[in-house]
Amino acid sequence: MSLIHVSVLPFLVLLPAAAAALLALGVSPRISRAVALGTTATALAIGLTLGGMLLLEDLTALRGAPELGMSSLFSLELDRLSLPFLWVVLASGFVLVLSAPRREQTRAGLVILLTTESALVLLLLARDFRLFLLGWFVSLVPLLGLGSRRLVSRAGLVFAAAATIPLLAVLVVAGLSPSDDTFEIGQLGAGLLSPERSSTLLLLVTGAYVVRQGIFPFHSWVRASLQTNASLASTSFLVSFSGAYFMARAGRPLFAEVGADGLAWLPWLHSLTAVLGVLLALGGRSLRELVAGMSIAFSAFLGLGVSTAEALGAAGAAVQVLTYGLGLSGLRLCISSLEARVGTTDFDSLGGVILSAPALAAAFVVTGLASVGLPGFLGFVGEDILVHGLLEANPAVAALMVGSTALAAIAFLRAFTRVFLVRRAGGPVLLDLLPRERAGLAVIIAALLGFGLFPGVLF
Amino acid sequence: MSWPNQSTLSELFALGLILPPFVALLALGSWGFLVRIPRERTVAAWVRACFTIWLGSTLALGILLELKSATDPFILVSFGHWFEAEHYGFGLSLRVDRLSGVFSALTAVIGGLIGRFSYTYMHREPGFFRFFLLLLLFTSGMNLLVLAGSIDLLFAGWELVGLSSVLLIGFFHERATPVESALRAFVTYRVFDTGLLVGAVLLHHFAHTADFESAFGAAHWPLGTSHLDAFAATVVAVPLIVGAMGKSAQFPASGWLPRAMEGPTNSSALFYGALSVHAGVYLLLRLGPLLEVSPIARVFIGAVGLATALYGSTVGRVTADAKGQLAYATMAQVGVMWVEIALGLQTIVLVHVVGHAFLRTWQLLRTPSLIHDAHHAGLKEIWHPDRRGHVLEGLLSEELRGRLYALATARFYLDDLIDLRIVQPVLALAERVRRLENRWMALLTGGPLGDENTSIAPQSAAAFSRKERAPQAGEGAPR
Repeated sequence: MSLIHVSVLPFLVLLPAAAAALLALGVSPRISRAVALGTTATALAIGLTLGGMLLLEDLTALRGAPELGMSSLFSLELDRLSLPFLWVVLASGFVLVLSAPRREQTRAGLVILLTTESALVLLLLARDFRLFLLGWFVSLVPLLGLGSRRLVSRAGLVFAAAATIPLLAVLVVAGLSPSDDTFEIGQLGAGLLSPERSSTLLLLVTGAYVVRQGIFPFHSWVRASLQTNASLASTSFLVSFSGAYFMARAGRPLFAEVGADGLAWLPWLHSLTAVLGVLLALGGRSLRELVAGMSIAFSAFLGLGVSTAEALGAAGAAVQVLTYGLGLSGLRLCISSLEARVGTTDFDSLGGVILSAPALAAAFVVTGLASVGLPGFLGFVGEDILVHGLLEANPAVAALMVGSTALAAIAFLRAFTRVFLVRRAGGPVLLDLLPRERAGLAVIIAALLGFGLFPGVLF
Repeated sequence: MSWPNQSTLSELFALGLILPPFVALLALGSWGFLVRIPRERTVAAWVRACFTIWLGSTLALGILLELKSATDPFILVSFGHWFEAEHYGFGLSLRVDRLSGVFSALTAVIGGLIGRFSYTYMHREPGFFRFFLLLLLFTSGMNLLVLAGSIDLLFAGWELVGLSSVLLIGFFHERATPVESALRAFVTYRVFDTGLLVGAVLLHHFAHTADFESAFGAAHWPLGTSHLDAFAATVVAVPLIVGAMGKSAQFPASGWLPRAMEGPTNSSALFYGALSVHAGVYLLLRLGPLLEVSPIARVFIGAVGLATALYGSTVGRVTADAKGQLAYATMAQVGVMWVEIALGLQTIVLVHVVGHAFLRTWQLLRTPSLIHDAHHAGLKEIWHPDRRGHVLEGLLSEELRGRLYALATARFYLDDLIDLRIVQPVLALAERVRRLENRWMALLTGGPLGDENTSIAPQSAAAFSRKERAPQAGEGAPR
């Protein structure tokens, strides 16, 4: 059986949304945290069960809610493409609520996190482009406060608009198609009579992808969001890599139809972004800057995979979604734990943290090295597949990616030595990780290690 | 009840070689992270059990190898694929032949020896637990490296060996120098390992396989024939040689080795006297069939080895500290091994490796007690100035000797040149990019986006839940 219908799929969207609504009504902080934790844990359990069903029974897709008599507009589907993205969104939501410092878990913060999670899940499961658009818009909420600690900022509006306008244009162009499946997200523009229109559609899709994925020159939102507006929701948004998902879902079929010749510049743009990201990580003066630079580079690596014509590259990217998503969530947790204790992540103010917080240091170094391809962890598997896929498509770009990954690892270890090693006079004395913080990080490390040792379950 | 057949026994013993350090590493690491740091005795018991199983498995595989056939001493244990995607598969096969058998036995014996030595030597050191975790990580990696049946699996072991080496160089992390040395080693490894990765991918591309068995023909080490033509063999071999240069501290990637002596003496003996430093030699020996058809690659190896031997022996003669001298002597000897490989003397290299590994292990483990001996027995009793080499020195003019001496004391300005021409420009570029990015973001957001925005007030002590009190004086002491 290649496809089965399940009725719990809509719950993945509705559960976080309902919890967000409940929290918005006004409950105590303690109950808010309990509700958020229960909701994210349940959603993760459902997601893991459905994913396990999909992989173990070798199905192509699970489809939800057609029996409710709704139109195809509301049809949801979980397939092998959306699965790694879904797992990352659900897992990062759970560990962020479980382990992030209490001060970040305000009621408003949790409401936005749950709303974002619901919107991201909708985006990943929607079969209809209009429903996808709804998820796309709502999940942009954490980005609106970009560059400030306010809810909405000028830069946030600019980036949100830049990510949205191309999609509205896609809606118009795709609507011109006479096909019945006009708005089926995997077949956008199917039946468009003119090749020019299909090419235009591909360009628009690429435009929206470039902004949302943080590809140069639209990479700055990643850095700004991590440096100044690092709310739980913005982290969830960042690690969802929804731009890459959109490119893989809507862009790759258009490649096949139109041909990728018109986008020959895209791999080079990704390479430039990757180099830029690792240079920003290397030149960073705080752990936040380090992780921001690494995020930009990781987004570019993923982009290289999903936009290559080689299926092997796309398979590598799918694995790396899990690696980078989980790895960045772990690094983000380590940074916020450190910041909650000493108030800063600047290199000049820190040093010798390992002396008082060895578990924090161990979690940070393991998560970071796992993200940059330490053997035994999932990053090694993904990097290996991705490099082989890229080599077949474009050897020069593959070589650049290998070099960038090496530089990212160097930047990471350099930052680790500056913050965690070498005792300095007047250096910070802090409490090590709490049990709940260890638990969240242990989940991430176990997932990266488990999938790394037994990656066969993902294919 | 029937005896298991030879294939099943081989699989069992191969698993006995690979799994124990991994299992111990995972068990001890998880316990230390989630519960508490285990006691010294617990750690020692795990490590002892690991090495016992390992040594037993090595002996058993050696016997099986001998029983199999004198003309075909080769066991290939395949566990299928680690992972497969599309048409690509990562083979999980272990290869026991004369080459890997010798290296595996060397790893088991010297690893076990150093493990036992370290139990006493590291007693009550704050980093006792960390040291043994890294020892297990290293032995896991070294095992994978020498037993790998494919270049892909070898690369995985290679990376683990490199990482454990770096973390042990920076073992005394409270001081700046070991940490800087560790970072230097990591940068060298990472840059040169890129060559190994590129070479592995190119082997896939040209030979359509990563298995040594398929790529280098059916005959087994030291025989074997590569099916690649001279051009393809050179294109594949050169990046792999570059990879080996980093791990074997060959010129010009040699600056990290003397600095690596900042780590504990027992780890220096294990890594830079015995095993890790010979990993590059192992790789080149394994690539023998490829080098057979590529004269350019052999010339390259010979040139690098010769340059390193000259560099190491010259600088070593003016180095003032014992461990530093040993580091340069090791570098020079490994350089000689590279020259031997270039000349096709593979069996001699294997003998050279074994002898050299044991000698350096003994010398490095003996080094810390030199000071003790000097104190008790008197310097004259233990110090016998070496008069050898003066004949060669006499062949050079006094002026040339003076210049050579000055250059050797400055280590031929090799590290300074690398810093000046590579490290500093890259860091300057990174800083420039950062400033430009900050200006661009300031323009977008209408305000500065820099360090001043990233600092926040620390969370109050009361904000932490259970046990969350303000840090007390002395709380920073390591557990």
